[in-house]
Formats: sequence, C-alpha cells, structure tokens
Amino acid sequence: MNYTDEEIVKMVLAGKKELFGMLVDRYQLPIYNLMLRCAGSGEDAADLTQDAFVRAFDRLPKFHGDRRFFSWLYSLALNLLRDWQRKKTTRRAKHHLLEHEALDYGKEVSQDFGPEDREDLHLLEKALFHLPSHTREILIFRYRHGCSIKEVAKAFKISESAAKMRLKRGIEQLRDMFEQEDTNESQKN
Amino acid sequence: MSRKKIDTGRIEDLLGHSREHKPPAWLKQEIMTRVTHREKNYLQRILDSLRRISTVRVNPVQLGVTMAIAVLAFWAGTMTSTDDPSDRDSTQITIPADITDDAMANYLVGRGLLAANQHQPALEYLSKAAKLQPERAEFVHWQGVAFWAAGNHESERQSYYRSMENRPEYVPSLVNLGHSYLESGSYQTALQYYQQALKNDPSHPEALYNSALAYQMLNDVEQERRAFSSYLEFYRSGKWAQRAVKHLHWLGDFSFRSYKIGGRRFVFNMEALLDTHSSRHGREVDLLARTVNNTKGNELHIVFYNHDHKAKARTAALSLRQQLLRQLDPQTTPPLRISWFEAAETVTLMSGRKKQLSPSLLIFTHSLDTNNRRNST
Repeated sequence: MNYTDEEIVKMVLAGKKELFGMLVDRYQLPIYNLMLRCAGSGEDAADLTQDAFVRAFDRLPKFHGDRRFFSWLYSLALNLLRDWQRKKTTRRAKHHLLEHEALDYGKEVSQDFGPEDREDLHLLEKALFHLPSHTREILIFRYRHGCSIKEVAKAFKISESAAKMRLKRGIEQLRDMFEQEDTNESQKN
Repeated sequence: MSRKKIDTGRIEDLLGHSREHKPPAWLKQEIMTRVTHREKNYLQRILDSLRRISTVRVNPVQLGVTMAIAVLAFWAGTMTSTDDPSDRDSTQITIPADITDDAMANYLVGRGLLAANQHQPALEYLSKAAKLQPERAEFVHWQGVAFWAAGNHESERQSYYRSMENRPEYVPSLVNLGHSYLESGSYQTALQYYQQALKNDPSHPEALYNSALAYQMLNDVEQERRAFSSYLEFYRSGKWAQRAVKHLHWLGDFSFRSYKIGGRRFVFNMEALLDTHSSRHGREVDLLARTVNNTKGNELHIVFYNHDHKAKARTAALSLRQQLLRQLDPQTTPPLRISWFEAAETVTLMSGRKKQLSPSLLIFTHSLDTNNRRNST
C-alpha cells in the first residue's frame, strides 16, 4: 500500500510502530546526508540520523499535519544538529571519522546526465563545500528537496523575506564559487 | 582564466541533481530497534507517576508540613536571588576589567569563552595567558585548542609544540597533535604522537581509539584489529565501545560482543568468557557478575552454541553458571537461565548478511514483568 506520510503517522500513533520504518525508508537518505555534510563523519552522521528519527518518533503526537512531514522532520534534524554542534565545539574534536565509504557508501549519479552535466555537477559539489554551512543547507533544502519558501523560513527559523534574500545571495555566492572552481580546474589541466 | 559563465537557473538545476551518499545498510534496523524498544519519555513517566500518586492516601498533617517547607524554600530563594535580568542570560559573560597581567585569570576567562563558543575572544585571552606564563604547558596547550576552534591549524600545532618545550611528555598536547595530523591525513605522524601519548598514559581513550582509525586509514588491518581490541580492554560501555565492537565485527573479529543487559548495552570479551583456561576468563566473569548485579527486575539468559560439541557447550554453560552464582549477591541476584545448543549462532552483519559463529555465547536479559518466560536450565 502506498500510504501518505500523514496516514502512516496516524497508524503509528494508533500503535502500529513497525510502520514507522516506511518513514525511515523514505527520508533516511536526505537526513543522513544533512548530518554527513555538517558532522563530516559517517559514524557521527549515522548516530545523528538515528537520534533524529527517534526524536521524531517521540514527538509524533505533536505532528498535526499542518506542514509536510518531511519539512517537520528536517526542522527537527536541524535543531538536533545545532545542539550537537554547540556541544561539540566545547571540546576538541576527538574520535575521528570512520570511513567505510569505500565499502558501503556509494554515491548515486543521475542516469540522464551527460559528460558535461557530470563535470558541472562535480564543480558544483566542490563549490558547495566552500559555502558557509548555513547557506549551503538552505540552498539544498530549497533546491535539492524542493521545499517552499515558507518551509525554508520555518525550518531555518527566519522570516520569509529573509529566506528569499538568503537564497538569492546563496545562489550568487555559489555561482561565484562554481566559476572559481572552474578556473582552478582549467589551470590544473 | 574561467572557461565559462553559468546562470543562476543552471545552478538551481544542478543543485536539484546534487548527489547523495547512501546511508549504511544497518541504519534503518538500528533506528527501528531503538523505536521498537523505546521506553516512555520522561514526561510520560512523570505523568504516569502522578497518576499513581493520586491513588495514594495522604496524611493531611504531613501534606501541610511539606507544603509549608516548600513555600518557605521558595520565599528564601526569591530573597537571596538577584533581580538583575542580565544575570539570567547564560550566554553573556561579564569579564572583570582588571585581569590584564594575571595569567591564570586570562586562562580561565579564555576557557570560559571557548566553552561559550566565542572563539576569537577566547583566543585573545588564552594567547595572553600563554604569553604571560609560557612555561605553563596547559596555558600554551589551550591556546592551541583556541587556534583549532578558530580554524588556524598551523598555529594550533605550533602551540602544542611550544607547550611541550618544558614538558615533552605532556599528554594533552601529544594527543591533540595526533588529532591534528589525523585530520590532515598524515596518519603515520598521527600514530607517532598517539603512541607517545600512550607511553605516558596507556589507557588514554582517544589515543587508543584514534590509533585504530589511523591504522584503518593506512590499511593495516592487523594493527587496526589490535588497536580496537586494546581500546576495549579498557572501555566496555558507551558509544565508542559500541563503535569499536562494530569495527572489529567489520573486520571479521567477533572476540568482543555487545550484549543488552537491563536496558543498556555492555561489551564483553566473548572469547575470554568461553575459554575457561584463559588468564582473562576470571576477569571477564567478574565484569559480567558486576554488571548483572546492577540489573534488577530482569532474568538473565546465557546461551551457549557449539555446532559439533554439545557436551562442551553444556560443560561451559554449567561452569559459567556456577562461577556467576558464587559472585552474585544472593539478595539481588536475578534469576539465571542457562541453555546450550548443538548448533552455530547466526548473527546478522552490518551489511545485512548472515554469519555462523561457533563456539559462541549470547547474553540477554528478559524483563520479569512479561509473562513469556522460558524454561531453560
């Protein structure tokens, strides 16, 4: 059965805990990647993703369906990340990342992309990581996950006009970074 | 020179196609395990407690005295507290003006600012402290930490080196130098510093754990396995112990296993528990007994597997039961249930594949509240 998120939430709240797995299937990829980009470590990202879903499960009774489940979950994950970053910076980063990437964490590439698209995508991904994380995450939330300005404003706790402004500036910054990366690559070649 | 210009529409389109890393295969299973065994949260527990309290009969005199004490305590609190609203802002740090030449004061203020994530001012105070008393290793060390927080990694390392001029064995700086080189990809150099730190503090958790990670990055599987095992010789509970076990399992080494005992996970050396002749056997049984002693309201299950030696499994099971009963507190000992099978234990690996373990040992607890009890010997 292809239930909507809201239907699944209702059934989980009615006692069918196992259906929460459908929400995990749907959203573990974007949440894990959000954590990975910000935490920088596969292990920390996995821990934070677990914590985000467990926190979402605990707070499901507070989800009233007045916004999309994904947007609600993402806001919750962002809050969790902020708490984690605050705690982390009080001490020296210690246990470094566990890299199982070569074994288990492949990257998915769009099938319909030609060689030039792939090259641009590669440059864009490099450029993205030169942006401040806050700007980067707003852009990804809006354009990668297709969220509305209203959802961006709510998730990042800013006004809608501030969201529009940050997105506009973010895109401009990213374009500049992209061109810079392109120049660097040209010089290498 | 730039090869091409790109418009914002193209940037937006590319963003929509940006690639994502696959989460580990075991992630969903871990989430669902936590969700399925989720206990009620604190609020729900408090509400449940309040419901229980409402059914308790209360002596009006006792209640009156308790209320009077509570009111008095509240009044005393309001009289002794300040009304200055700035005191309520936990993020605002008021720095005394007259600390210019006091190294310790600068150091303490710097540490406070660092803890409050105010990296730049923290660096200024900690640098001042380090300048005033360069012979104090911890002042110079923390200046390095502030450089790290501010993103200046070269100055960070220089501070650690300076902190060790008078104390070459200063462990915090050795460890942080290890971290710094590990993060920059200089794994061999990182290992040298971690090993130097471990000579002075053999149980340093970060040096032990990160040595294993450095070996992993150098593809030295045997040293990685040894290093994670060394970490687990000292640390058996908490997130890092669980991770170390996962690393070992990933390497195909199941000598250490993680078992859920009374709601928490603990790591035990399964090999030592199975091998009664091992010098580590007694220590491991002690550890298991101490852990079990702290779990109330549960019965403990220990299951032995040996696919071709049922008699051996039985002997080991009965021997462990006897040893545990000798050490457990008879007043608080949970019911102890031992079973054995002439079969291998099947475990699910992180990749989702199954693996057969023999001989093997499974330990778990079962709440006494539930009716579904097993009748094993």
